[in-house]
Amino acid sequence: MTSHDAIVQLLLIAIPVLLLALIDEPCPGPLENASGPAGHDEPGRVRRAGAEG
Amino acid sequence: MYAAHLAAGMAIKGRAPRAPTWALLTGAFVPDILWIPLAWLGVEPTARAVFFDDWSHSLATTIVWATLFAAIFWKRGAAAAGALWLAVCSHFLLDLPIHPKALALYPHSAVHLSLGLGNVDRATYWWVQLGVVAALGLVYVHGALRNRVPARRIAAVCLILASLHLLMR
Repeated sequence: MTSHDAIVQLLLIAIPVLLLALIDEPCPGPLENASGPAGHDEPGRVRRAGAEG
Repeated sequence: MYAAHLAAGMAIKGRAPRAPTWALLTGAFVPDILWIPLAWLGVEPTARAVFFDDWSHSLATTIVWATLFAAIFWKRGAAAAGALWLAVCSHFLLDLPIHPKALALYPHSAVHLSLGLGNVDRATYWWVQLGVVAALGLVYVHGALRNRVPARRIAAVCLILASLHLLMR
């Protein structure tokens, strides 16, 4: 087996492994990491525009 | 086998959601990943007349590789480590029916294991693999639905597995 063959063989394994792993377990985005969704000060309490003052 | 090894990793993922997907998929290819440098170094010659892959692919060494690989992930729990052990061993089971040379019991063993399909033509080989990919894909879909994996992600995984198998035609 030549070095070229070895690299091709490794890529044939690595590329689909990375692709499937990223699809199945995508990295969490910044909103998913935050303590709560935008517009919520705390769980269960939603701030509505114009509700106060 | 190619896409079938990936399908095996995904099928196991459906049953062991705590095991990392990348590790399951890598585990399903451990004998091949080891075979590449061994073949490159000439330890496992690839020429048909002298083909030898007992160190990377025999039953005994596959079990050793599986145990070492699973041990790396022991901190993730016994279920995850067991799933990773199974992922590595799945490589032997999937290679057993069809492989360039019957798989050895252990390196340099006189005993070789095979289901005797090594001489089937290329088209039959492709269809056999398709059946294996489809069966393992169904196992993955069943497990993923149970684990509430979004349908579009399941569809993407199935599409990639099917595409990889079609590319190998």
